Amino acid sequence: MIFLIGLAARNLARNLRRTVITSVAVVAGVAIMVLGWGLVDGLDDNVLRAARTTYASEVILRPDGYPDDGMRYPLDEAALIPDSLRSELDKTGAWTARTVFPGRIVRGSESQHISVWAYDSATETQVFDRDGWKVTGAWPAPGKTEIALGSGLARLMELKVGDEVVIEGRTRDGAINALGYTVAGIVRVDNSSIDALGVWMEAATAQDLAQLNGVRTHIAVAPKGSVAAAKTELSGMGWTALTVSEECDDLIAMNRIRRKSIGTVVVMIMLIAATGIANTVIMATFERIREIGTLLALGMPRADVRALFLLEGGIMGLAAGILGAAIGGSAVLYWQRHGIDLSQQVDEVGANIAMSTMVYTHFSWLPLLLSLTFGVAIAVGASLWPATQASRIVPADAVKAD
Amino acid sequence: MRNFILACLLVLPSVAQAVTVDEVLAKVDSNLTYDTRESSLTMTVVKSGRTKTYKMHSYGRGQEEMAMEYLEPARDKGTKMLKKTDELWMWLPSVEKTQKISGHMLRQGLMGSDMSYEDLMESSRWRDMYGGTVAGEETIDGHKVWKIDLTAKDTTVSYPKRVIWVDQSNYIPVKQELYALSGMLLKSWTMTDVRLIEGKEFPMKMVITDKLQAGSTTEITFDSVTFKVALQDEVFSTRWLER
Amino acid sequence: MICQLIGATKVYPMGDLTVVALRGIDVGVESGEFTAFAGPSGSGKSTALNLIGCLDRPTEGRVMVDGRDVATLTDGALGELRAKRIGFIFQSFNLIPVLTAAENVDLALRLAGVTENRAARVEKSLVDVGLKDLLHRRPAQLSGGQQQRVAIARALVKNPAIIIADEPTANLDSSNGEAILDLMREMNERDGVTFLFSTHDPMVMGRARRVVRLKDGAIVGEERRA
Repeated sequence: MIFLIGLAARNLARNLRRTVITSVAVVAGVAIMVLGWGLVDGLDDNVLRAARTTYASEVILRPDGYPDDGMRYPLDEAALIPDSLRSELDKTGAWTARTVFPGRIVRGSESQHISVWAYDSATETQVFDRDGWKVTGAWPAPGKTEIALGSGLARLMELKVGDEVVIEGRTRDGAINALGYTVAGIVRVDNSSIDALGVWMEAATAQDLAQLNGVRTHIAVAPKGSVAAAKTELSGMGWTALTVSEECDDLIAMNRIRRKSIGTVVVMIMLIAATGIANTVIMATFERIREIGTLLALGMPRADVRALFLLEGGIMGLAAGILGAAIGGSAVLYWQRHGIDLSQQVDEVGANIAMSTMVYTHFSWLPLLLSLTFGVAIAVGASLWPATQASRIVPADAVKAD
Repeated sequence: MRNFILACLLVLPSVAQAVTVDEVLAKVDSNLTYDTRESSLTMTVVKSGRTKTYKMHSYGRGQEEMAMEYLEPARDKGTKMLKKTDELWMWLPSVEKTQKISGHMLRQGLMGSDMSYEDLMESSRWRDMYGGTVAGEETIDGHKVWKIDLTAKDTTVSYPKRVIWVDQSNYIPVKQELYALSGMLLKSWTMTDVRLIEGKEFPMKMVITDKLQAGSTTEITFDSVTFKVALQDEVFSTRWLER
Repeated sequence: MICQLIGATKVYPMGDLTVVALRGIDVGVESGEFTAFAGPSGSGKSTALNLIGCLDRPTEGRVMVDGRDVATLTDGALGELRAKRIGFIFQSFNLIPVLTAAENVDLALRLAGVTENRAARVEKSLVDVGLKDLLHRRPAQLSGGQQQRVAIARALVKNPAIIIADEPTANLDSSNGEAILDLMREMNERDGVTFLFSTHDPMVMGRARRVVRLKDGAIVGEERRA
């Protein structure tokens, strides 16, 4: 067997150019698979990170029946936090409550639909790392009619710190209200859906606008102990608790679809690769009919002849797979460290997705090994037919072939 | 005593007019509803410097039923709307689906205009929603009008405050100002070009101006109006939407 | 008798036609012979050689090798028989291009199942054919005559019962051809190696001790010399 491997390797080296050209598709397929996988895993991380650091923390609670699609924020479904839940929350760990409601920001002849994020600055910092957010200017000062704008919204409306705006909204009961505010700061929390259309204000400030009277739409909890236990303990008190990963289920399901489409692309590339490999191995058998005849004449078993050509395909697949995995893996490692900044693209298309504009790929060995195996399997599979044909040659004719 | 006299002086004018706000509102409400009505109208929306023009055909019956079809522009042709009592449906030809408009969606402007679906639906229910006082009498375009300050009867009314100017001769609210809870002026709404159609006075033009967003106005002009037309029940059914 | 054809007939299909390459010939080769199958191309000499070398099976008749009827053997057993008992020299040398001279020779030993002392045997056989200094050259780095010497060493190294050489000098110039024949003859005389070769070259026939003449698939004559 070692001898056959050596022989196969030498045959491949002899036709190096052809081997390399044939292998390119396998290299590409494996590299794309590894990179794509790393990217989608990275997107999973990204979605979780965006949720965790900007609105959900580890466990998020919403009033029972409140929509969790992140698209609608009906204030009439906001609820008071019952005392029983409050004390349970205190036991569980740090928590902060927010009220998100729809509104409209107007300045001059421009207006834009927004979501107002009313927060309680006293508890907010216990749950969220505000230092991780990029703030231009300052957070609204308590007691003043000040707001902070999401960075995307500020850009869209061409607003700066110090500008005066009007925010129109509805009270919880449904009456329209409108008040003037000063832009104190511009905040980038690195969650596109908040940054694109969010306006931040103190819950006390929001009281005047929306007559909240204590109702909240979200509670973000950073439990001291286990997340699952916290979820269980906080359930059943009129509020629905989700762990951050449950919260991101929908987006992660989208990533599963992405993974599938990458898989489809990879399979297509691999089919092209398989055609190339089959072609190369067929060419090799045609070119080497006399050699095959000689090996058979010298008494080499037909199975070994077959193995020889399978090995040639397999080694090609392995080498190309290793190269592809190395290229894909390096790219994944590089972007895991440095990240891919999508902010420009997100701004251009005005995406409103609950994810960070910084995507860090996620390196893991599984896709590397799987894609490598896949590459080798494809290569061996493609060589199967020509190799079998080669082993069936009649030596008497073959030894005289040109 | 002096206070009493002052109070009498303040109250007396309205007594002298022999009119109550409730009466006026009842007349306004009934005046804006008809047994049956068929009309063609043009809506011009000006926003952020862009102008869009829509042409519609509409049918109405009583206070509760209204059906409307968009004819222009080509992009919105075939879009239909049906209002029955408190419910509103839309048919969008692009998705070939009937959609019920409810909740927060009612708060959106009709085709991006300054008139929300809610405005459309509340237009003849003032008597239920508001109470108020006659603030005085004025003359607008040679007509004597009452200026009436309205305050919402409960906190769920969209516009907590309204000031309306009602023509004393025909009870048409020729001018309105709509206010936010804070007292900030949100919209103004005028009804002009009153014509006598089949013995009924009817405003052929409405202009709604967004007072928060500069340069945002919506103008609705009735190109033709007929009353007492024979309308089949089918017009006010969801089947009509999908036809 | 090492090898024997008994009533051997070989028919090849060629499209709709069939070509009769051998018409029931009887011929045998004894140990120590230096025999040529002679005849023009198409006479059936190569087919006869292929049957004796177990590279092909007869359509009718029998092939006996070492007293065994080849027809009873499986493809695998036939391969093993070739590997152990029969050496081949081809017209076009047929060395494995990616292997060195020594590796080509070693391949024959390996396929014959020899595990011991291979390196020494390889070296000795290459020295015997006069390629002492060219052990690690690849075929492409050798002349035609040198390549055919490697092929002889490859056939010889496993001490086969018979070496079958199909037109061994046809691709060589006359001096190289003669040298190859000299080498074969020398091995035959000195070590008693049995050679069976085919040729249409009168010079080559002149070197054979026994010449079996074939024409149109049948034996038409036989000569023996001292």
